[in-house]
Amino acid sequence: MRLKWPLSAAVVLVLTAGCSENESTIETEEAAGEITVWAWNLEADYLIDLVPEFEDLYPDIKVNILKLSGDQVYQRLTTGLAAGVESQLPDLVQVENQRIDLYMDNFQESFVNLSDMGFDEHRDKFVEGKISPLINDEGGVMAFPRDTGPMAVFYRADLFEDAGIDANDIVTWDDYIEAGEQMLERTGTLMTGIQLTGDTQFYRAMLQQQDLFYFDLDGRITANTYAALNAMEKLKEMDEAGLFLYASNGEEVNAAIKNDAVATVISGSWQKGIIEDQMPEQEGLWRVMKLPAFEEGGLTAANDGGSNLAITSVSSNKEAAYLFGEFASVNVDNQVHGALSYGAYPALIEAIDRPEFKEGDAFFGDQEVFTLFGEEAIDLPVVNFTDDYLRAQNTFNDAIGRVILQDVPIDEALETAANRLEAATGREVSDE
Amino acid sequence: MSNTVTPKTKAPQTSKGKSTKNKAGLAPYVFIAPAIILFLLFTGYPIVYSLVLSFTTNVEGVNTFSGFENYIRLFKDSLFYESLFNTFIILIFQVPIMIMLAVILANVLHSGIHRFKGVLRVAFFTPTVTSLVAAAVIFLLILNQDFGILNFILQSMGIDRIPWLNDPFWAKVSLIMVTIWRWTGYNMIIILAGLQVIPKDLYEAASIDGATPLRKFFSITLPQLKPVLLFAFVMSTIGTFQLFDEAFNLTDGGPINATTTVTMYLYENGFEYFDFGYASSIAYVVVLIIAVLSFIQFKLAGDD
Repeated sequence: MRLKWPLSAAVVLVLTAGCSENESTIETEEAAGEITVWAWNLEADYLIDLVPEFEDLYPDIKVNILKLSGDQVYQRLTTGLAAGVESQLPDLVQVENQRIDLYMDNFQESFVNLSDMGFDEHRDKFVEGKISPLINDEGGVMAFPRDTGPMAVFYRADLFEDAGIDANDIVTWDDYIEAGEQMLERTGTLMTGIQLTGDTQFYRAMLQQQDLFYFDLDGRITANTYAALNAMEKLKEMDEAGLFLYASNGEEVNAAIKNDAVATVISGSWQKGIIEDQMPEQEGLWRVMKLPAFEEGGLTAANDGGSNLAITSVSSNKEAAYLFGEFASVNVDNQVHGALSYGAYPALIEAIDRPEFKEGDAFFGDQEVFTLFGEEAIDLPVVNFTDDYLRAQNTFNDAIGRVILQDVPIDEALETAANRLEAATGREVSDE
Repeated sequence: MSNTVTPKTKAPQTSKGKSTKNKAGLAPYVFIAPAIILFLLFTGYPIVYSLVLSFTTNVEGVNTFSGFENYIRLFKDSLFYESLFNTFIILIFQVPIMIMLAVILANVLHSGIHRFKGVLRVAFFTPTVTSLVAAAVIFLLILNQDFGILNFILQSMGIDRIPWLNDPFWAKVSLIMVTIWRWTGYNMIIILAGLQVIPKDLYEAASIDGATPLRKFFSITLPQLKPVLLFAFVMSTIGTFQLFDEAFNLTDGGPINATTTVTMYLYENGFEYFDFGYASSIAYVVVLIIAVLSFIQFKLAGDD
């Protein structure tokens, strides 16, 4: 019933904020006993696959994987951390890069510093763009790095052929726009989908290609920078060229892909899994190319997505949790398995170099898809997510909506975004 | 010990009189105690704590007192005004349309149709108890701009496709449509109950005087329904201010915040950005607005 909402909201507000202290319990040193892991979707499946082998290695440890939805993990984690009660929290939990800062800053001491447990020996085994955001102010690694989402352009080879476009000719965003116009003219197909309510990931990619993000490395807001303006202008050009299919969220974009309504998708490597899963009839028609750069020779790499495993401070079995986290993130075979079975592209450099990834993929016309992702993964720029990431994402998406849907001048839309973020976060605005 | 002995003769009388009085006085409180305790624990305490929280901000993981900072920030926050504006727009369009529909449906069900009364009541009430997450999935399919069934029907009638969820204006319309779909049945049931207590002799007297059905509706039914309608209006106003799941599941507040309601804005601040103090201050401002609106409605409709 409608009436119930404010009450329950108030209750949760209190439960989450009422008791924000949590003292970590005494650390047990022997690696034995049971641990609970919270994860969602494919990551949970991946972890479940690892359990038998892990339990063979460490017969005294029993691992329980709880497969939830992403929202459930975050909601339970938030309330659990606020309450600080061990029975309400897992020993190990999946957290995405973009949320790590949010949790670490609002629930300080809520996660175990893995450097204290010896993770520093593995630090250099991961691509820089992945592990940097996981390092706290004191230089400690706060979570086990798992997958990354190197971004690329997924395209339909058959439609490109019909339109007479050679994918090799698309090097810059301008080339991409030109190809899109040709596509529209010759086949009537739109170039790509843009999520107007959801998340315009490729705007974020465009910022990354200019070595920026919603925030710069000092945590300042970038909405007033040349890079933000430049990226927004490209979006506007694409829109004016009529390349976009307007979708409200990711599902609508996927519906458009399924219905042959768009010729390309600009997304993270995990999009591979979605296409293979939901559009099996399009087998053999897809290919992948690197992101267009702003100018020839410019940065093509950008990261979207990727999660990590963090140990909660209240866990009474940190040693066992550490061993399992290490097994799930540092073991090369496991990373390869995760990538091949679930499309979770590894952040572990040694795994990226594995020969399994150099095999052609039948779904993508025998293209060596993973090789391309690997090249991108190594180049991923280091970005600063900050604890205001979600607010920034919403604010920037609003700015995009204003520019695309309401023809608000770009500088005005970005100015508004900068002001709103400044007021809400108290952060400085960068104007470089 | 001595005084327990001295009033020995008096004791039975007083204790008898006292104990029966005590028992009679205490019993109701014992029976309502569980409800009171639960209310205080899960409603009273949060309400008070939320007020306290609204005067704090989170500084590096610790709630610190910040005076009226949250409220000052709130009054400068353009997004808050936008969400308030959205809520008002929905209120102004959705509530009257919904109540009107509910009155019409209730009257039809009350007098006109006799055969499928039960089935129809259930049919109209079902949306109220349907999980909105499930319903939202269906509506997303119906309202999809390129492949949705609604646009397919419109196109086959020669009407252009409408960007239901991808345009700030149409997203609001979509949200209003879904809210009407969901809550009309609920109000219809309330009004139906109201219709059933209107004395029959009023209608008989009117019939003798030769009143038309329309005249009866306006001169008897509506005035008699006034308290029920007032109730429905007040509840719907409060409900609109708490509108959350519809917007959250269907439009996620977008595009460009066109469908962000105040409650959604509260949720975003509290549970996405972990700005609990700020979220609490939004909650208190909303409570104030609801109180004022309800007061006005009672004033306008009351005085009989």
